[in-house]
Amino acid sequence: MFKPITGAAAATAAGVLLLSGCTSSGPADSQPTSAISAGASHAPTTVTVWTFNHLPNEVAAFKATLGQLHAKYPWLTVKFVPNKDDAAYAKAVAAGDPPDVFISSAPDNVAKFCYNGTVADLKPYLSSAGVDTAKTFPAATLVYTRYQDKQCALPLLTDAFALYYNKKMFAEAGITKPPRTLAELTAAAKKLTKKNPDGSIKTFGFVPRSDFNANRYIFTGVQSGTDFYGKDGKTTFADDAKWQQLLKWDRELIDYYGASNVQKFVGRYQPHADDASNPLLTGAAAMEFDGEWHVGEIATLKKDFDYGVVPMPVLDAQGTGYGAGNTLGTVAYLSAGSKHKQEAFFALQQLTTDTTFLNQLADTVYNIPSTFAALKAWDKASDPHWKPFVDLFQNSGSYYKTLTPAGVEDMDTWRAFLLEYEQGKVKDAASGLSGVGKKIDDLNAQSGQ
Amino acid sequence: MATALAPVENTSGGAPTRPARGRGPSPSGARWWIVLAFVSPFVVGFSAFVLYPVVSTLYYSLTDFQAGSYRPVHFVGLRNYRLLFTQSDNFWVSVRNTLWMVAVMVPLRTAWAMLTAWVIIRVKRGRTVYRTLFFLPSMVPVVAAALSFIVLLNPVGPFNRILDLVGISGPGWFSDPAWSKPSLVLMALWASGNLMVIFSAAMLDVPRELYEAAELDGAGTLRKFVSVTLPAISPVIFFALLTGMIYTFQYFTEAFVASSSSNMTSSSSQLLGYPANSLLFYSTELYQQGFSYFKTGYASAMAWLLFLVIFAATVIFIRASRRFVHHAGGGR
Repeated sequence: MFKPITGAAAATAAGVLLLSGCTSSGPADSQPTSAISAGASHAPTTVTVWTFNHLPNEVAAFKATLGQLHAKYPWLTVKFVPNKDDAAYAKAVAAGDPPDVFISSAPDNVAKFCYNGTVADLKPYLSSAGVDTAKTFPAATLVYTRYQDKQCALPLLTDAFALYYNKKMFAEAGITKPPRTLAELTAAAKKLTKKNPDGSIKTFGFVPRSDFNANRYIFTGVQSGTDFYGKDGKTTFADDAKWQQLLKWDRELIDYYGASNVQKFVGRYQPHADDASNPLLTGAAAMEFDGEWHVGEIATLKKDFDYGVVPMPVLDAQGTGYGAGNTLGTVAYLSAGSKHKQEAFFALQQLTTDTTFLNQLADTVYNIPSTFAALKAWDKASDPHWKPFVDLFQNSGSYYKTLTPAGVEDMDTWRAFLLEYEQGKVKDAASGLSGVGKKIDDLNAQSGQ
Repeated sequence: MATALAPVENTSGGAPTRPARGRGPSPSGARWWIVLAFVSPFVVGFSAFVLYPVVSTLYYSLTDFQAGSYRPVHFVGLRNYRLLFTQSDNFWVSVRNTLWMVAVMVPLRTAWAMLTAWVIIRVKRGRTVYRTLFFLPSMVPVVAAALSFIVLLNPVGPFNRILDLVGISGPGWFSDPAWSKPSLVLMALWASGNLMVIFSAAMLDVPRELYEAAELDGAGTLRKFVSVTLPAISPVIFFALLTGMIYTFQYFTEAFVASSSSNMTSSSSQLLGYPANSLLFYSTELYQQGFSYFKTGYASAMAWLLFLVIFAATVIFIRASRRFVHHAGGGR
């Protein structure tokens, strides 16, 4: 029998070993990083694909494509598991049993997963498979799927954001053309605003607050002609005066309506951004900043609604940069810990580059196809409501802010600051911007940036 | 069990087994296995689901471990604890919000449950019906209750429409930073039926003679409540406050559902603490750090700090309770 002291030491050592074992030290396999040939025979393999929460028709679209994939390549079986988010994926990785492919709804953790070695660099596979990313995927998608020199994910459909407006209200207000600058947007918003006899607001021209619907993407730099991060990797809030101008525009419009009126509007309509009670559809707002999926929703919810879509106005008084916008979308990762990397990449490649599948899924989820070939073949690309989004997506000035190993924490910190500012808790915009900039820089420094 | 605990005979012929001091004779090696076999379900369950997680979070709290990361894990000493206090605004916001709930929700919920119990035990007819009605909300799953309240307390929802009818412009409730925490308190009061049942049982247990003696001394309803009922049920009040405090330090589900549901659209990711961090409680911040930002080491440090605070608060509260908790059978 062990003496107590020996037993305690053994237990401690075992505990430390056990605990250390739970912090995965990384995949130590020697799988080739080349792609497999589509035409070659192959041993039967099952690849697990996790994806985020989908509606039943979206799941059906995925399953149909994966079924076709299996029919075309009988050796490849894909086990499709929906309703998995980034947290579930990280837990599976930590447990040493990640899915082979993970499809995430947003690119926020691309840099984090890449930096941490959670996902595989796809460059060797793409090269081996003869996929030229620059010729396959529009540049905007490559911005949010890369970290430093690594291709950490591939885009699987994308989103773009633009200004929706009610044509009838514009005509009634005598506005002949949509605004191109934020100053013009404010002027139009004021013209379009209607009040009830008791002084309350019947129709908002435009609701400015950053937490409403997709508005936060107005504040990531594209609309103000600034970069969220400078060339040195640090935030530009303290140095670039345009951030203050953007906040000032936001503040002035909130003050015009009254903070409590805007508060009520946001509280009332936030849950109805995507249903028939949407403020643009009900006439509670004349303009709205939203993603391209809203075109599909309107076609379903209120087919005869007369509206237009234009790029979101920009801060610059000359309108320079008008036509560009935020673009980001769904991303598909290849797990570094996958036991079938070659086969998993093959499935990933099919999902992200197959034109028929991309266009079928785009029509189902109301997104934009994310390859040049799929865009060319997409019948909606010339539709007057979809075309502005396709143009935005392909505009060379469109991008999403640089992703960092801090993941979504930088954006969350920025969003929290914006809300504090809009609630009137930040008295001095300049020092507030400087403070939040430093906070985000510190976060990035701690994360390994 | 008597067999296992019976004195052990020395059958080996060697030196007699020395019994442990004050604990009676200890079982021999063979009997140890029998004892272990019987307690093994607990030992295995406790070790796997309590001891191991507790020890591992302590270890993680001293490292830079991130869930899902294959980077080497480094021992960072107390850095995570230092960062909590020195570099995280959200940490202090969550501490303030949590203390607000402990200071406001726990006493209000206890007082409300006590009041409803006191009223219900005075109802002559239909007491059981009223008690059932008050108890029912506590059976509703927390997530369902939170979602229901979000709908009811929508700025243009049913509750505000009723307020409109009487000329009151209702607040934004969960979408207004000034009203979001009071909205959660309102929900807690609505669901305090389980506590109400405990209070009514305690009140019904107060000896009638005490009330009769008080009446003979000329005590009115309020005096009887203050001088007879409250002291008699003080152990239950203590229980309600203590468990309420421990629960509220770990307050999570209602706040998580309220903040994410009020904020979530197809184009927005969860911003826990919405609106304006007013619903950012300690446990939601811990969840955010651990499961949104994957900072497992940092979140583990938060968990340990929470454990220590709850432990200390519990000890202090138990000691302080000696002054106000009346125990039947004499003394306080």
